[in-house]
Amino acid sequence: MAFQFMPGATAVGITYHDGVLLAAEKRISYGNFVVNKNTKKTFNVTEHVGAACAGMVADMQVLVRQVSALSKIRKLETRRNVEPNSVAKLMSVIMFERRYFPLLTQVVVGGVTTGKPEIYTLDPLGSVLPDRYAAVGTGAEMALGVLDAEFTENMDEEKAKDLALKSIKSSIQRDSASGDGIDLLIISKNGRSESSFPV
Amino acid sequence: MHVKDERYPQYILDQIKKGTTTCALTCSDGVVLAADTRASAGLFIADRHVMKIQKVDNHLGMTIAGGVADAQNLVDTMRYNSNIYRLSKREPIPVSSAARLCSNILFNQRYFPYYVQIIMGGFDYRQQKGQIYNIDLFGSITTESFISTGSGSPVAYGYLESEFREGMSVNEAYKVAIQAIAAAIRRNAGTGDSINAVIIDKDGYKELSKEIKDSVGAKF
Repeated sequence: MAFQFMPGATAVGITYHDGVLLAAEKRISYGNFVVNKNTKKTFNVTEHVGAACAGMVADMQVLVRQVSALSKIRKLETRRNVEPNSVAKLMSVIMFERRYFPLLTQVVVGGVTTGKPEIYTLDPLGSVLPDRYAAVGTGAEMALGVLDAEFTENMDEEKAKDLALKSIKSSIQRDSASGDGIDLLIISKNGRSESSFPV
Repeated sequence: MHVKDERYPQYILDQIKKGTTTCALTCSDGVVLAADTRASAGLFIADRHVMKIQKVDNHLGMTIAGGVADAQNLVDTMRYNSNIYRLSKREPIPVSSAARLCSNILFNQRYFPYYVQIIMGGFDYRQQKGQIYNIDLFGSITTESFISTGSGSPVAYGYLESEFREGMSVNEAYKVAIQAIAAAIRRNAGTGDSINAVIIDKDGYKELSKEIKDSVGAKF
């Protein structure tokens, strides 16, 4: 039944001075029926890399579990933390392998290990596009309206957090497939934290 | 991006599906590749600074138009094969060979094509001159002195047909290429945001800096 209604969502990613901020709202709707108001669309792939996804929830959960497991193996092999660009490329390869029956999800993956904070956007076929800020999902256009106007380089954490919340609130107001709260995942050089906000 | 945009009829969306303009010019001493930087999904601009000109090897570059995932994978495969060729044959891969290889990969996917339109351009080691090839999604190869692909290509061709001269050097041709893309940006909605340009000559692959591009004075 899920396949008949491509679930909408909004997920954004913002790089700031010390790290990256990934946020998503919490609604799953099949057409006009809201199935779940407490969905988690932000994920910890590794300790230093996270992902926020929009689209088919099953596909995003499976993708993240797979990439997370493979990243753990890679960390054991190389004995260093897996970089965000490696995670992005790995996701891209997994998604492109399924080119004929794609994973129906768009991903914003980001993190910071030793270098600069980075985020990447992936489409359902696995293309990788780096950026300083990004939004995916049915609410992306509204979120980008806010982000394009107010994003600046090297913001501090409070400002970046406010911007992320503002952009998703904007999407929630104008996209009926998005709503019911916002999850925030902050990954910085000092560590990682997750929080939830009602709307 | 495979988002169905129901606001406009399909024949309009088809105009911007390959929302891009790229062009390539052959010169007396090399080639010039230029492209815009917009990635669009229907009418939505998904990314404003995509690098559509990819370095395959020091002497070889390709411009991509169409589906980003398909194009990125094709570029990766071409890079891998060019490297292997250079290491095993101890010379850089001839541009025509690279074009033929790309064509074969695309034709192998004839029944479920890679949704791409490619220009392969480079400085051929054996013939010591620049060569460009236009490769479509099924793998057909054609070559001309100048090529343009994407939704804005008719506009770019208009400019190139009048301003291109045989035997220009790369230092004159990059200005023509940038102006062609600028014309396409002005008159094609699927093209926009900014311009990237690359020169490939006997000294290798060189991406043009912002200062040089701005000094051309192209208005968009």
